[in-house]
Amino acid sequence: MLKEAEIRTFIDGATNYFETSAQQAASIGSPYLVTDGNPGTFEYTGVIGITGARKGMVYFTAPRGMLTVLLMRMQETDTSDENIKDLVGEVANTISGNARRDFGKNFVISVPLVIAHDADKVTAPHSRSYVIPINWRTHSAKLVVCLE
Amino acid sequence: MNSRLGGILKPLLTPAGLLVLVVILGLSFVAIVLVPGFELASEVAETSTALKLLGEQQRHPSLIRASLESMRDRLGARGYIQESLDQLRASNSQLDRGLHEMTVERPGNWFALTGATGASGAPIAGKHAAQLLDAWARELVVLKPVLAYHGVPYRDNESTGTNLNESGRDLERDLNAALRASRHVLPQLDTEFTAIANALQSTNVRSATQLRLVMISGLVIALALVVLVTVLLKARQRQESSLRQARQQTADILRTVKDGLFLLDLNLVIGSAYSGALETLFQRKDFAGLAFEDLLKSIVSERTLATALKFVKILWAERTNEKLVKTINPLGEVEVHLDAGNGKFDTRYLQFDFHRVRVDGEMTHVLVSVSDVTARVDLANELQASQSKAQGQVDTLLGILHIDPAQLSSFLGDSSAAMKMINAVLREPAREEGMFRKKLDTLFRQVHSVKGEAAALGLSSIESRAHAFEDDLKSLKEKPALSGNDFLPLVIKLDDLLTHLQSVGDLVSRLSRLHIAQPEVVHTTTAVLEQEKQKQPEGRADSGVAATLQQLAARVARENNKEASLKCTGFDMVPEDYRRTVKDIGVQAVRNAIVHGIEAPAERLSVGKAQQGMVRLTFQDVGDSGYKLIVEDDGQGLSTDRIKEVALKKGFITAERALSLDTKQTFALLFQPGFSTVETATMDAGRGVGMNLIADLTNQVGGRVSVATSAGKFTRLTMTLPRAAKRADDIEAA
Repeated sequence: MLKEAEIRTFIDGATNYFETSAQQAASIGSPYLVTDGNPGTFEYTGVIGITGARKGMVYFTAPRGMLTVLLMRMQETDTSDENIKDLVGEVANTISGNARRDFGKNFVISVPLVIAHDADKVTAPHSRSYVIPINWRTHSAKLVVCLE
Repeated sequence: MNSRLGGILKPLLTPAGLLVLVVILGLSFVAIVLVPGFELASEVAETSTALKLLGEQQRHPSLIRASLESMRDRLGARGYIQESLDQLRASNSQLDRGLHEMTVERPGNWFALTGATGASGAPIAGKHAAQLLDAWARELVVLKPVLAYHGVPYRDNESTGTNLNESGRDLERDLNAALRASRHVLPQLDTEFTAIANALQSTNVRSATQLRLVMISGLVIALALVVLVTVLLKARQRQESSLRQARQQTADILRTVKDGLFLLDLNLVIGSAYSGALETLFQRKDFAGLAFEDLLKSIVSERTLATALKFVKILWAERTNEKLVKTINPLGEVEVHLDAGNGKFDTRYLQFDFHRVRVDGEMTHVLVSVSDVTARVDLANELQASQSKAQGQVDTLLGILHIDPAQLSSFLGDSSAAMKMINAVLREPAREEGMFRKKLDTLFRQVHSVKGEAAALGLSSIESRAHAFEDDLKSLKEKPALSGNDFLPLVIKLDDLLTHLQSVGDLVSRLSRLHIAQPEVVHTTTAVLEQEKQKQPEGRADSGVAATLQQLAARVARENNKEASLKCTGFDMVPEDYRRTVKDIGVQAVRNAIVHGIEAPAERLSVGKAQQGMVRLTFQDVGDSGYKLIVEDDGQGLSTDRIKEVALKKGFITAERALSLDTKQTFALLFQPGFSTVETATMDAGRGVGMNLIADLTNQVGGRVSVATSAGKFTRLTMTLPRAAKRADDIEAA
């Protein structure tokens, strides 16, 4: 069973990103479980694979609207698909960096993979996932933690 | 003898021995054939030249004599003598030159090996040189006046004709003297010349014979060389072909072998030859020249890496025992994670084995073999997991064996529904405090009902989990500000509960499969379950509810040091729609009745009641008005003062309001969330959720609750339920 501290590390990674890059904190909504193996995605998803002490994946998925506003908030006027993908990759990177710092060598974390407009490509390795809604301004994104 | 010969020949028959033979034969060819051959050929050539020279000189003594005689005759005949004189002079000078050539010392030959064969520094004339020169010198003395003659030797006289003049007479005299001397000297010269010619001839013959011999030996050596070189070439071809074959075989082995194989040198660098499997195992190709450290760096922890490097260095130390060192191999089973590139990892278990490689007793390399032991490790892990799971299942099995199968099945169904409801409530989007807080009550009711039934069935593992969930909810309720972060522990506990319920469910279904396989065994859980099902009239709830409540009553009484009996009536009439509601209300009501209503045995005796309290649960069909569920206990009844006191303490009412409340309003406080008259929460009471849950459950189906009580005598709750229950889903959706 997952430990609270482990999930918190991933959550902190995601919320910290908003706080440091957009100077506007993100809050988390009510977390829940998905038991059918399909936690769902928005248009842009940054996936990091995890193995070692835990095995599975963690991904941050957000709608285009939220990411566009976030880019603008970071004084970035180029809101092209490529730029948005980079942004999602960066969030995933921050999450993985946080995890590396907290878990050390026990967790082996992959290079983030960004998947856009192709929800089918994101497949949860286990049927049960933790879904943590991440609210920022009026938008909502999701952090999905699917680990053994 | 033969063995000694064999001992000598054997090393010669090896390629190296043959090569030595070729070199020896080559050198012999140079020493025995080429050098003497060249010298002998030079000798033959020189002897021939000398013979030619000699041949030329040999005729000069005769020519001189002939010239002298011709001159004398012509002089006698008063003829022309100049021609003969010229010839004499020519022969004289040629012989003089020839003798000089024949007698002068020749330069020595540097590579002369055969000594005085003519090719040395001796003159052609050899030992005859002195005699020749001496004879010639004597001849020259007599020839000199003749040779020096110039002029005409005649005097013409008309009367006497032509006569010799004075010079003519002198010449005649000189000629006669010369002829006389020549008669002795010239044959001497001839003899010497012949002797020299014979010597030269015999030298020439000997040299030619030697040359022939040299040539024959040359031919033999050359033949031997050809044979040897052919043998050597053949041997080399054979060697090359076997080398090629060996190389091919090594390449085939390295390409095909399933293990990763490579050599490490003293600097722990991988050699250029390695097996193809290595590329698959490590998902890289740059092995040749790669440091062992770099290979491991990305796949093992820093600590393992450091230990592994130290380990290989120890292996290099000659004095350490290889077998002993191997027992501390830190890479006996390494978990390796290879990034599959799609956000997922390919996890493998690799086993590294190290072996010392020795050449002539000297350690030259460490052979490392890497094998993929993933299947074995997975199997072991699976086995371990299934063993611990089996242990857990035995515990769970022991926990459920005593439970009536029908009850268990209904509990599992209800619990699963409750878990879904809990997750659905959690899933509802929430941003503000109020929205978070609103979730708590529903969560509480759901988990409380699961806990209640688990307690009733004696499923302590589920009960304790639900209790922990309640504990969290309770502290959240008291928390001044709520956010999504606070709900994380709940989700983790929900996960745990779900997992546990699932494992119980799995066990039950496995048991049922077991029973299907043995249909004749009728006392098993499933068989009973099936029988129970068959007993049920269509659309009616099973009798499991009553049994569940009986168990709960017994357990709650025991744990609260009370004595109580429960009498259930009319439960076989509960429609399927109401089964869960009736059960949930029953669980809460029975628990409340025993914990709050029934007094301790001693107290009951002191007020003249029976030691054992009585709780009655009655389900009635009241026609068009619907159904009634009545819960009555013969306990201490409700005290309005106690209720007000607690309500005041918990801040539900103010002191003024307490004074103005009538009985009905006071009882209404009981149904408020969080109200409980018990000081410390136990598994059974104290959360203040029981009465609230009863009211909620009744309201959800569109019913109502009424309370009747008499202090010291009884408490009666009556739940009036409409004929058709409102759907719970509608309520939740609203």
